[in-house]
Amino acid sequence: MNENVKAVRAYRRNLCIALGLILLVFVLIPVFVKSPYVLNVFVLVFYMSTLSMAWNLLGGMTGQNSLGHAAYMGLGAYASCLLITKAGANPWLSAVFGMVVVGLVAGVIFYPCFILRGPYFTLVSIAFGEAMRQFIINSTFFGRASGVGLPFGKDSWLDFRFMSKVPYYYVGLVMVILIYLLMKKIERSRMGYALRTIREDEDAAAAIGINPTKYKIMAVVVSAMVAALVGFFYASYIRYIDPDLMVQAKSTESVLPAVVGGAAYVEGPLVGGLIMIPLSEFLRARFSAMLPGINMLLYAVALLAVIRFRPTGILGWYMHSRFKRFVDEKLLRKPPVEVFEAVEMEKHRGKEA
Amino acid sequence: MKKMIALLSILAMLLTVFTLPAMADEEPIRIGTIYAMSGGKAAIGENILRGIDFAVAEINAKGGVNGRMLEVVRGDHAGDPAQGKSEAERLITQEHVDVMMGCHMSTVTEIVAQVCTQYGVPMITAISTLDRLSDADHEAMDYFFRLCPLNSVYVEDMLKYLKDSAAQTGEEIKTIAIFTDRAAIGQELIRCVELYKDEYGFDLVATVDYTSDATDLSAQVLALKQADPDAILCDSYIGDATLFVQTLKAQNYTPKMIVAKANGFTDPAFLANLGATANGVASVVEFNPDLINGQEINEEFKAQYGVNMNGHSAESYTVVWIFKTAIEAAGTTDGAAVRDAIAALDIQGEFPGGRKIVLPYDRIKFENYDLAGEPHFRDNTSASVAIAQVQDGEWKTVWPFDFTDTQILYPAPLQ
Repeated sequence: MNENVKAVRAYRRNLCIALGLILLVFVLIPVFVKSPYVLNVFVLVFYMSTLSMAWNLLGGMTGQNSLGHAAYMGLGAYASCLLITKAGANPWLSAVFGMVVVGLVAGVIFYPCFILRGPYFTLVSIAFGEAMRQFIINSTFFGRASGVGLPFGKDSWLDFRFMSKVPYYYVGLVMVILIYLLMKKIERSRMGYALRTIREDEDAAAAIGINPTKYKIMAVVVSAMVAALVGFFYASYIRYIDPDLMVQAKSTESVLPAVVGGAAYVEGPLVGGLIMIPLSEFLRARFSAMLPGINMLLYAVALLAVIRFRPTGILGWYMHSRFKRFVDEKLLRKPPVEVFEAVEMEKHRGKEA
Repeated sequence: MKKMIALLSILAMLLTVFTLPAMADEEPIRIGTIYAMSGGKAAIGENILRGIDFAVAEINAKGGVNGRMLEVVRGDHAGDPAQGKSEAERLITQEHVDVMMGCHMSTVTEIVAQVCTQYGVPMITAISTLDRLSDADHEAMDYFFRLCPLNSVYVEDMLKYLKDSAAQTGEEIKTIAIFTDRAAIGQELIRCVELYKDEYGFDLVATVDYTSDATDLSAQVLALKQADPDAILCDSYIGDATLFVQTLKAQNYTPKMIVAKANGFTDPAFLANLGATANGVASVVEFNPDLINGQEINEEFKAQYGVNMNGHSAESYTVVWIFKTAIEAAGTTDGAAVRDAIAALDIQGEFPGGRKIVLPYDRIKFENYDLAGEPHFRDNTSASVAIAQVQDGEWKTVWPFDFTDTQILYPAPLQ
C-alpha cells in the first residue's frame, strides 16, 4: 500500500514540476524576448484565451452556445472606461465596477431567456450583442459611434498605463492564471458537476434535484464578469474603445480558441489561444502584403482542418494520443488507474476507522 | 511517425513567426503603411496604396532619396484598432520602417500615431480627418503630422459652396438637412454643421440618420421629402451612398442640391453603380482630374492603373513626396531629425525635383494654430478642398469658382 501512496505522490510532484516549468518559461519570456511585437502577440494570446475561457464556461461546460461574448467584453470596457473618464475613478476599481455591472446586466437579461434552449439561446445571445452595440451607437452618454479614449500620460501602476509591453504581459499572465484556477475550481465544484449534467440532459438534471435555471444563470453571470474583466484589460492596453468592439465577428473570435483547443476541457481555450493567435498574426505578417485577405483564407483553412480532422479539438486528440501516454508514463511516471483507486480506498478506510 | 511530423511542422511554423521577419535588407528607406487591405473597407485602402506605389516608382526612377531607394512595407489593419496597434508594432520593431503612413479610419490612426510617437517614428496621415487627432489632448503626439484638411474644414467648405452657389444659380439656399450614417463619420458631419450653420445663416430643418450597410432607406428619404430642405448634406459609405440615390429615384424625390462629404460618394464604384442617376450629386473632393495641376499626373496614373486618380490616391502620393523632401533636408533617416525636418518644411507651389502640388492648394506647411477657438497641432494649415459635381457621368470641379470654368448643374437632375 505504501508503494502506491509513494507512486501517487511522486506523480503529483512530477506534475507540479512540469507545470512549474511551463509557468517559469512564461515568466521568463519578457526577460529574453525584447521585441515589443512578440510580447504584443503574447498579450493578445493572454486576453483572448481568457475571453475564450469565459465563453467555455457557458459553451463548453454548460452546453449553452453563446455568440454574444464580445458584447459583455465591450460593455465591461465601456463601464470601466466611462467611470475613469467621467468620474476620474481609479482604473482598478473601475474594473471591479465594470465586472459587477456586466454581471448584473447579463443576469437580469438572461434570466427570462433560459426558458429557451439550444439554438434559441444562441439566437438571443446574438441579438443581445447587436442590441447592446446599437444602444451604444445611439446613446450620447456612451459617446455614440465616436468611442471613448483613455487618457495618455506617464507610466503608472495606479493608472494601469505603460509605454512598455512588459507590465501588460505580466498582468495578462496573472489574469490568465487566476481565471484558469477559477475555472478549474468551478469544474471540480458542485456547480461544475451540475453544469455538466445540464449540458448532457437538462431534464434529467432537473429530475435529480439540480435547478437548471439557477446554475445556468450562475454560469452566465460568471462568464459575463470574466468577459468584462477582459474588456477592461483590452481598453487599458489599446487605450481606445468603440462600438465596433462588440460586432458579431468578435464574438466568434472568442469561440475559436476554445473550439480549436478542445471545448470539453478547461485548458482548451489556453491551448487554442496559444496556437490560433500567433498563427493568425503570422499569416497576416507574412501574407497580407502579398495578396490582401489571403491570411484570412489560410486561417479559415487551418480552422476547417482542425474541425474536420480533430472535431474534439487539439486536447481532445491529445487526451487519447500515444504522445500523452508517453508523457504520462515516461516523463511524469503516472501510476495506473488501479493505484489511484487503491489510494483513494485506503484514505476512505482511514476516515471510517 | 506521421503525428510527430505534424507536430514538428507546427513547431516549425511557430518558430518562423518569430525568426523570419528579422532577415531584411537594410539598404532601402522603408515606408510603413497601415491601411485596411482586407475586410469591408479594403477598396479605400487600395486607392491609397496605388497613390503610394505611384510616388515611390516615380521617386525611385529618378534615383531615390539621398541615393537610397524607397521601399513600401504594407500592414493591414482590417478596420480593427487592436490589429492596427499590432501592425504598427510589427512594422516598427520587426520590419524597421523609417517612416509611417496611415490610416484611413481616424480611430485606428490615433492608436497607430501613439505607437509611432512612442518609438520615435515620424508619421504623416494622408487622409484622417477627425479634428480630435490634432487637438490639445494630442499635443504630446509630436511625431504625428496631418496633410489633409480637418472635418470642420470640409464642412465649412461645403457650407461656403452652398452660400456661393447663389451667384450661379440665382436661388439662395436657406434651409438644409443632414442625411448620414450613425457611425463616427456621421457624428462628425452633424457636429461640424452645428458648429458653422449659424455663422453661415442656414436653418437646419432635419437630421436623418441610419445604421451602416442599410438594406432599406425609404423611411429616411420620406423624412427628407417631408422636411423639403433647399439642400441636403450627406456622408455615407459606398453601399449606403448608392442605395440613397437609388431610393431618391424610387421615391421620385429630387432635392435641388445634394452635397456629400466624399467617402462613398467619391468612391469609383459610385459612378459605376449609378450611371446617369448620379448626375447632379455634388461632393467635396480632395483632388479631381480636371484640376489644373492634376491633369498631367492623372493621365499617367490612369495609364498605369486604368482608373482616375482620386483624392485618397493624390493625398497619399503627396505624403510620399513630403517624406522624400524631409529626409533629403535632414540628410538622414533618424526619426527625430526627420520629424524636425517635416516640422520645418515649407513647400510652396512645387516639390524640389518633383511636380507642382497636385491638390487644390499651393502650399504645404505643418503648423500649430487655433481652430474655432481650440488649439491644434501639426496640421497642414493651407489644406482645403474643392467641390465637384457629377455632370454627364463624370466628376467636374465646380467650386472654388476660380479653379474651374464648369457651371453648377442646378437643380440636380438625378438622371
